[in-house]
Amino acid sequence: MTDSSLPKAFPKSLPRRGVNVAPEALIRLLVLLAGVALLVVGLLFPLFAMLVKSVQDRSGDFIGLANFIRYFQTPALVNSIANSLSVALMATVSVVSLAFLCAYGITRTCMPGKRLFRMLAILPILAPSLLPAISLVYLFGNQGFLRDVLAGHSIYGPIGIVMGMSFWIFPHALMLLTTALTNSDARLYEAAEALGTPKWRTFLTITLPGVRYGLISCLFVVFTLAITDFGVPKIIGGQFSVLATDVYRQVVGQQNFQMGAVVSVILLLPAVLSFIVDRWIQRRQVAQLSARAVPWQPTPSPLRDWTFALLCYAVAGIILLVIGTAVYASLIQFWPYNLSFTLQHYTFQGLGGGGWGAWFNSLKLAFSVALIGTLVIFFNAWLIEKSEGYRPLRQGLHFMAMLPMAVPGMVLGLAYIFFFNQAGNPLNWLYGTMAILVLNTLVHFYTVCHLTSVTALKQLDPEFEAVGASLKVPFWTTFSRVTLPVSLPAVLDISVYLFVNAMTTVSAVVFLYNSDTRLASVAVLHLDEAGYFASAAAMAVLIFLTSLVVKLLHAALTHVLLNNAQRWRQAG
Amino acid sequence: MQTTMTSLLTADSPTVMTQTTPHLCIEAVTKCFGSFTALDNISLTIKEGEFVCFLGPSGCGKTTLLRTIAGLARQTSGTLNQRGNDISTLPPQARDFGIVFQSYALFPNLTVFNNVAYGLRNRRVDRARINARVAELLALVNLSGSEQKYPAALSGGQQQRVALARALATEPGLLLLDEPLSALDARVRGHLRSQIKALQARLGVTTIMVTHDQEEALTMADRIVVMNHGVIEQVGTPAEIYHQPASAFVASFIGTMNFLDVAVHSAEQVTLAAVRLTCLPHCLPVGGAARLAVRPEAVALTRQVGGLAGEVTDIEFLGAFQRVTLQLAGANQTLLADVPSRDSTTLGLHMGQTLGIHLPAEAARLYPAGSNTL
Amino acid sequence: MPTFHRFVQPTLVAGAVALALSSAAHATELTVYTAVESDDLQKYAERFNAAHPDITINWVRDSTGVITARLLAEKNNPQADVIWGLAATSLLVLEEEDMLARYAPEGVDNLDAKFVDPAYQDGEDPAWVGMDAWVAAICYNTIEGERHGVPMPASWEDLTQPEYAGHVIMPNPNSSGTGYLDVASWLQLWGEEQGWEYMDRLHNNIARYTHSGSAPCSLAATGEAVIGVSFAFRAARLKSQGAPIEVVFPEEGLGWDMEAAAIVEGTNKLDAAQTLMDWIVSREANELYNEGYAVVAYPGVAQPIENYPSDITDRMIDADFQWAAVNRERVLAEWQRRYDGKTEQ
Repeated sequence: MTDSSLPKAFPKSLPRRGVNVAPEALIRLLVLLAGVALLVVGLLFPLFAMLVKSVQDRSGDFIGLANFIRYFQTPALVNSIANSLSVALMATVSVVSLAFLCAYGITRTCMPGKRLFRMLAILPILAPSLLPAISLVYLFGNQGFLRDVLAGHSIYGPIGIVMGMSFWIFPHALMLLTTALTNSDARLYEAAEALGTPKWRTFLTITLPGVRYGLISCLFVVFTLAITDFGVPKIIGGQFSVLATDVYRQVVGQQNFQMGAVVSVILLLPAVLSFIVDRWIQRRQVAQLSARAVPWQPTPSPLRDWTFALLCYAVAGIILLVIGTAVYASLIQFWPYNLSFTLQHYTFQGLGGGGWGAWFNSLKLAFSVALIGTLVIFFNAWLIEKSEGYRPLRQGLHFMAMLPMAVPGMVLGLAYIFFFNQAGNPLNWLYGTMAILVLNTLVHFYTVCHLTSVTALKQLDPEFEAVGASLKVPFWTTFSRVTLPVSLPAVLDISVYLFVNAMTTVSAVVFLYNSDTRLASVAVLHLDEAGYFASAAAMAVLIFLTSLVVKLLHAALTHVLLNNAQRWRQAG
Repeated sequence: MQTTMTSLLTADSPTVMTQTTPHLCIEAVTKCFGSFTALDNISLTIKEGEFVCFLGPSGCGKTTLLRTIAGLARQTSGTLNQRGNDISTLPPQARDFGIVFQSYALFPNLTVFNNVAYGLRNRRVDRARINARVAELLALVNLSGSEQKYPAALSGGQQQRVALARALATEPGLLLLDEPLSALDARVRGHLRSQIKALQARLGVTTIMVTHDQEEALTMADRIVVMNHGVIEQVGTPAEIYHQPASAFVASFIGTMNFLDVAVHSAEQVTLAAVRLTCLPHCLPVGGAARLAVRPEAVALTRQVGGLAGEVTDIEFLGAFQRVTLQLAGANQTLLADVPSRDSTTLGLHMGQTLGIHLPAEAARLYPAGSNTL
Repeated sequence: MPTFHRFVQPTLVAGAVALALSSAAHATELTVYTAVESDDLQKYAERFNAAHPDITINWVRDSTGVITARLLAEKNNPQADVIWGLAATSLLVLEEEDMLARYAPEGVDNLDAKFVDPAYQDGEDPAWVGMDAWVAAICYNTIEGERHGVPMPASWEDLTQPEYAGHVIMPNPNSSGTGYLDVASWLQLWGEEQGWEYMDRLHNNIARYTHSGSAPCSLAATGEAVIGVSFAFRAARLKSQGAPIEVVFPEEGLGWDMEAAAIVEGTNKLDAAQTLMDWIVSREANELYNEGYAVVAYPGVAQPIENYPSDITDRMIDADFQWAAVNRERVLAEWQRRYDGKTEQ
């Protein structure tokens, strides 16, 4: 540091903008309150309204548990509990075991075509859960080309439900288990090998214990998804009723809101239970991973590699078959009697459900949720993680951000009717608008986005905000110039997650759309209800293709952004 | 605030404030996290232009005190005054300081230029002036030409200097350094230590540095604040801290120190291993126990055995000197003595040897029995 | 970070544009609840708008049972302005609840008196006016029938024969108006006791009960079932589209219900609602109904329709809508008690 580096005539002091400190602290408090208000209004109040409704009669008088007693005295309703549990358990066992094998193939073998398989395996997420149900009817229905596989059993009922659920839940399980199996510690395997441990014993004593938390967590996530699913049992359940379809039947079919609320409360229980177990496990898992673990690398073993490869290819083949069937169904003139190709089912001309308008509405919803949701959720996570003060508020916000995961879509949708459609509610004007659909969808899928945000934010230097403050830069500037750009990959993941879910979800919004805001996913349901099976398939395919295009755009955008960011990410 | 600002880059112009004006007055600051008291009734005055180090073991509260000064943590009670303004309740944005963190917290997605200009861009300064300012700051930290690089492309020491330039860019009245050198390897650390000190001296900016490294504190600070368990143990110049530690803790924390259990014989004498030793006047109760602290380099060894003596049980070769461990004769206590290499030949130093020990009164300090050491 | 801004801003703009588009305002918007087959809704609105372009119709369509239940649920906070195309039995229920605004549309006198609220003959304004009759029918898939050895039925009674077991699909009367008119007609044809006894036997042959009245015929048309109990409009249309079905009109007689229209009490768009009602009873509107239904309210309008028997009027039973309306809740509860659990969700 030489003297010459010291400027001689630098102005005495740089102009200093009057730092508006009080407004900044106030703004911070206000946005925090806004975040809390969003979830209080969008989650807690509706759920509370639903609980209240379940202990009222039709005229709104308190009647204690009379509705519940009536519920348990109605065999047609009570049967659904056992039905729901049995299909959810069957789906859980089949999905998790299959996903475990595939995840093992991806992470622990040298099977060829891993990348392609992983890409194909996520396709079901891009489709509404109604799509596999429709395809299964074409595959295994009375006219299905594979109906003999069922040996005389009907696809309408538990078999179809379990198959349909397995299809769309599979990617979720695969992602969770792949992550769990990736976190291996090579040192343990080397030690086992040095001790001459047989392979099966290594698997039982090292591999399984290593993934046990991931596995248990996966079991509960899959079970929750299965027991709360509405789309598959709605389309293919036949006379086999489950809790989610009971809510719909009570509310939409019979407008018996009280009983709908009762079924919702019952549906809420397994979901909440599995949520609590999952949280408990997640907490324990954090402590288990050692920072010094060395990732394990598989070595080639042709027999094992090809066994797993064939299994994975078979799974990928089934996925393509199911999606292909829906596409095929949407292009056939009059199945099964006139197999000429046509695009007429894509016109949706003169059919219910809203046609292309519904698709456009869905697109609007998906874009709005992706844009607003991403910013709101990420910003709220930032407030929780990165700001000082208002501890109770921040903790409360975090707790509420975790809750939506435990609330099934049907329950949330119904809760919205109860809360927003009260005549005296000042937010009543929201009812029947696109805004309520955006709010509902945003809240419905809040938790996963929140967790993704928190994980991304935890990876940032904890002092960015303090540096910004010391330089008198308002917090929103640091947020937009540093935090957001640095977290961009996670932010994009969140936005595409929200987009795809807003496109495909049907459970919550089925109660909330009106004539102006019909959605494509709900249209699939209505087209199917009305007997326009080909058009229902066409609409489902349309949703799938839309999600696929957005997902591909997202992949390309992420690629470009990461390439650009490569300069600073790995400049060293 | 603007009128009282010294322009930190014009060190050769007369300083507006004199060295004795207090820059920061901390009064009775207490900070509790639940039932844990991180800062216990801290009072401290920091003068204008001073370089102060908060020194102490981890968990002593030094970082909490720094964050309280910055406003990043809010004290439970007590007040803070900066240049006569009560800043106790102001948020960080409203306080006048720049800060460099242990992790540097450089914005990874911004270039060196944009990092340094970060605080300037917010102030409606025109582009040309920002450019000039950043160029000057980078020159100041010897990083001219690195404007367009990203932090990840810089070495640890370079990143540290960028962080320093960024903190200085807005001409803060107070520079806060939170363990700024601890992430660097020893060689870079030594180099940067003198650079920062020289820069601080040149700019005259009041600086507070948090460190757990006593060597760093001793070499850089005008004054050192030694902290332990949320209280200030001693405030003093490096020499005071080293030579006149106010407590057994300070004595033990800074440098190497012998602690010997002694009995107080009179106001100027203690008894050790049945030998009466003279010490500086004290006011410990006569007849009680006490601890005598003396640094190894102050211990004089002689071949004449008379009075206090000990047997050599270990010799450690440390280059310029040898550290000798002695078992005191007549007491189950050991004593370390540093013997310059030249003297060791004179002494004919070897294991098992019995040597006379002289503890100079002016170099020995007496602490109450049972007082905490590190 | 410029790349970020470049990414966000166009999206923001697109979002804003999308939101702005959705809130484009119209002169008068009527919320119209209907159970009319969705095939025709667009056509209905277009024909009406040809005469009255200043009134926009926002359809809310669902099955008869759903729309009825929804209207009842919204009794204290009505969302609909007009009901256009709902079973008369349902409208009678709503009238009982004082939910309909009485109004005599211009030209109501031109209609067949059977198609107008009987109160009109007593000097009151009618609470509702009829549009057309929709008639029960059975869809029989000839190909599947042959394959499974299930003969074409000729009567309701035939459906209870053992060879039909598992091959019959019918709508759930709780959600479907067609389902209810079937149940009500059987109870009227044979009396309550024998009617329920018939349904008990039929229930053993039923594969499942569907949500809508169209679905059974659609399922028969695609060969998912051999026999779908449905209604003539859907059956005739599917046959025209090339489905391998025969439309069977059982010999015991055909249950039927009237599609009707009414103004919802409490609407704040009464003028527009009355304009719509005036058009609903017009000759032009009745010609429109005739495109799907063989029997319409305006005498002399009806033209024969493809796949409908010419003597359909004679084969319709002498339906007592008043009875069907008064007993609706009781019958449905009894039906639910007996057969629920085999219902499609």
